[in-house]
Amino acid sequence: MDNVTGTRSPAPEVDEHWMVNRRRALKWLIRAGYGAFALAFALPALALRALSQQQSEVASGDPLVYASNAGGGTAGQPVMASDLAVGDGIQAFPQGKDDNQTNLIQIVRLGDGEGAEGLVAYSAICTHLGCVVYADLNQDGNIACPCHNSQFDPTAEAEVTGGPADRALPSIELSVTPEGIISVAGRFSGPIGPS
Amino acid sequence: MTDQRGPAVPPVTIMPASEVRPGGRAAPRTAPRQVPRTGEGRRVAAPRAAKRDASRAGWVEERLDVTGLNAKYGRKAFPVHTTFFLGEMAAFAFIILIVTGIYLGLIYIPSSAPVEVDGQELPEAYASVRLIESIPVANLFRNVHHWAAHVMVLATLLHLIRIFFFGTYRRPRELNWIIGVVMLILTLVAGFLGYALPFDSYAVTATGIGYSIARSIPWVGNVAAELFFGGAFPTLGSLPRLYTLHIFVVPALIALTTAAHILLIVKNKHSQPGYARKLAEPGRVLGVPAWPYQALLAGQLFLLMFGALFILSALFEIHPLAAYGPPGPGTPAVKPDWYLLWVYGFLDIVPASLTLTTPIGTIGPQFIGGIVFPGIIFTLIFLAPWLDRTNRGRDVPRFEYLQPPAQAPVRLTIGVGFLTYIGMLFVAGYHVELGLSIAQTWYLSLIVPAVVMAATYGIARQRDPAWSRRFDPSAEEEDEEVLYVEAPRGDQ
Repeated sequence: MDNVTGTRSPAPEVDEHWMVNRRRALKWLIRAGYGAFALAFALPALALRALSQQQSEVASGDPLVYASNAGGGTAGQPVMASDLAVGDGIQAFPQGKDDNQTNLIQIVRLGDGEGAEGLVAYSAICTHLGCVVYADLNQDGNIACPCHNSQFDPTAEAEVTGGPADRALPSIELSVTPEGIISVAGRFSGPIGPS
Repeated sequence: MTDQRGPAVPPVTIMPASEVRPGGRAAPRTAPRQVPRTGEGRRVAAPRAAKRDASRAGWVEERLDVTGLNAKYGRKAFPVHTTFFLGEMAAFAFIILIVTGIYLGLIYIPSSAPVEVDGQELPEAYASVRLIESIPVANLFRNVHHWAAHVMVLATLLHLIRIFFFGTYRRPRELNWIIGVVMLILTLVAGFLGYALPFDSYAVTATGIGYSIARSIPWVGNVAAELFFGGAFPTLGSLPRLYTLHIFVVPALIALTTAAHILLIVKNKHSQPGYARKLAEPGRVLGVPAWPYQALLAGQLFLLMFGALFILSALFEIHPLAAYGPPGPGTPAVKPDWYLLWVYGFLDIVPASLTLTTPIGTIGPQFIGGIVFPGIIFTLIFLAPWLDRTNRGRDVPRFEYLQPPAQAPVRLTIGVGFLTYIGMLFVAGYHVELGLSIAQTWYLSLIVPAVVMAATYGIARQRDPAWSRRFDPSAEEEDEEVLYVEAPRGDQ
C-alpha cells in the first residue's frame, strides 16, 4: 500500500524473455480453459443417448391383447379373431409390451374369412404428430386421428385420404393361432409415428 | 451526480452534529438544513427536540436515504391513459402465479411413476393433483393458478396490441419491444409446460404433440426434443425436467426480462398520451407521481385482480382432473387453450404435400406448421419497428406521444389484418366442427382478412373526424382532475 502514495521504487529490470513466456503461458491456459469448458458440455451431450430408455418392440409371434376396456374386451385379455365383426376396429398391444405406446396396433376387420383373412393391422400412432388414432372407424370407413383429423383408408394400406398427415400408417402382418388368438406375424412396414 | 435529484424537490437531509458517519469521519459541522418532512416549515426549536426528532425519523433515513429515494424515484412521473395498466396486469398475474404456484409446489409430486390409489394404478403426479383437488384451499389455488395464467397471457397480448396500434414501439423503444415479445414467448412456453404437470390424458396428449413437433426439426430435432422432454416423451425423466423448467427456469427468465423491461422504461421514459403535448413543455414527462398516486392505483389494481381471480376460480372450475381422466392407451380429442389455438389451427390445415426431402432430413408439415409458421409470425412481430416506414428517417428524433390509430391508417390496417388472420386460424382449428373443408378454410382464412383490411383502410382513409377524435385523447384534456407532476427529462 505504501507504494501507492510513496515514491516510486525504481522499475525492476524486466526480463523481456520471461514476460513473453508468461503471456504465452497465460494464453494457452485460457485456451485450455475454453477447451475444457467445451468438453464439459460435449461429454454430457454424448450421454444423451442414454436418456432414451430401452423400450420393448413388437416381435413376430407376439400374441395381441386388448389395450383398454373399450371395444368389447378388457385390458390385457387376448384378442380373438372372432371378436371383430366386419367394419370393427380395436386397438391391441403385443402381450406384455404395453410399456411402449408405439407398440399400439390398430386391427380392422374388412371382411369375413378364416384365420387372419379379412383382418388388417396398422400402427395406431398417427404419422402426423404421434397421437393415437380412434379405434372405431369414422363414418367414411376411415381410420381418423383425434388431434388434427388426419384420415387413413384401412382398405388401401392406410393411405392418407385427408388431413395433414403426409405418410400412410405402417402396416403389420397378422396370423391367428389355432385357439383363435390374433398374433403378430412380422414387423411394421415402416417407421412408427412422425418422423 | 450533484444535481441528479432535479429542481422540483430539494434534497432533505437530517444530520445532527453529534452523529458520526459510518465511514468514521465526523459529520459536517453545519446545522440541519431542513427538518424532516413531517414538520415541514418548522424551525428547530431546541437541540434536544431536534435530537429526538432526528432519532425518530433518522434511523431509517440515515441508512436508506428515504427522502433522497423519494426525490429520485418516488417523484417519477407516470403518464395517465386508459390503456396504461395492461403491462401492470401481466406483472401482477405473474406475482399471483408465483404465490399460488409455491403453494401448489408444496403438494405436487413431479413423477409419472405408477402408484396405487384406492386400488387404481395412477401416475404419481396425477394422484398428487387429485390430492390437491381434495383439499378445498389447494383446489381453489389450483384454479386461481390456471385462471391467472390465462390472464397473464391475455394481458401481455393486449399490452402488445396497444403498443402496436399507438405506434410506441418506434424510436427509441425498439429494444423494449423486442424484450416484450420475448416475454410473450416465455409466457406461452410457461403455459405450455404447465399443460404436462397434471399428467392426465389431456396433458400426455398435448405435451406429446409438443414433443413430436420438437422432433420434427431437421437434424437437431431428436436431440433437442430428448433434451427438453427428458428422453422420448413420456418417460420417467419427462416430468422432473418439464417441472423444473416450469417452476424455475422459465419464471426466472420472465423475472429477468421483466426487470430489463422496466429498466428500459425508466431509461427511455414512458410514452405519453397526446394531451401531454399540450400541458407539458417539450422534453418533460407529464403524469402522476409514482409515490403515492401511481402506487395507490397499482395497489388497487392488484387487489382487484386478486379478488376477481378468486371469485372467478370459485365460480368456474377450470380443467378438473375428472374431465379427461388418467392417461390411457387412447388419445382424447383435444384442442389447446386459446393462446396456442392458432398454431393448432394452422397445423390442422397445413397441406400434407408440403413435404420436402433435403440433405439434412425431411421437412414435413409438422415442422412447417409447428415451428416455421409460428417462427414467421413472431419474426414479423419482432421486426415491426424496422418494417414501420415512419420509424425511418431522422426528422423525428424520438416518438414520445401515442399516435391515435386512426391517424396511421396503414399501421391500423396491417394490425387489424394480422389479428383477423390469427382469428381465422381459430376458425381453422374448428373447421371440422364447422363443416368446412381444408380448401374452404384456406380461402376463408385469406379472404376474410383481406376484406377486413380493405374495409379498415377505406374507413381510416375517409378520416371521419368524429371517429378519429374518439381515439384522440387530446380531445378530453379540458377537465382532467388528476394531479400532474412534471418530472425532468434528464437523468432521473
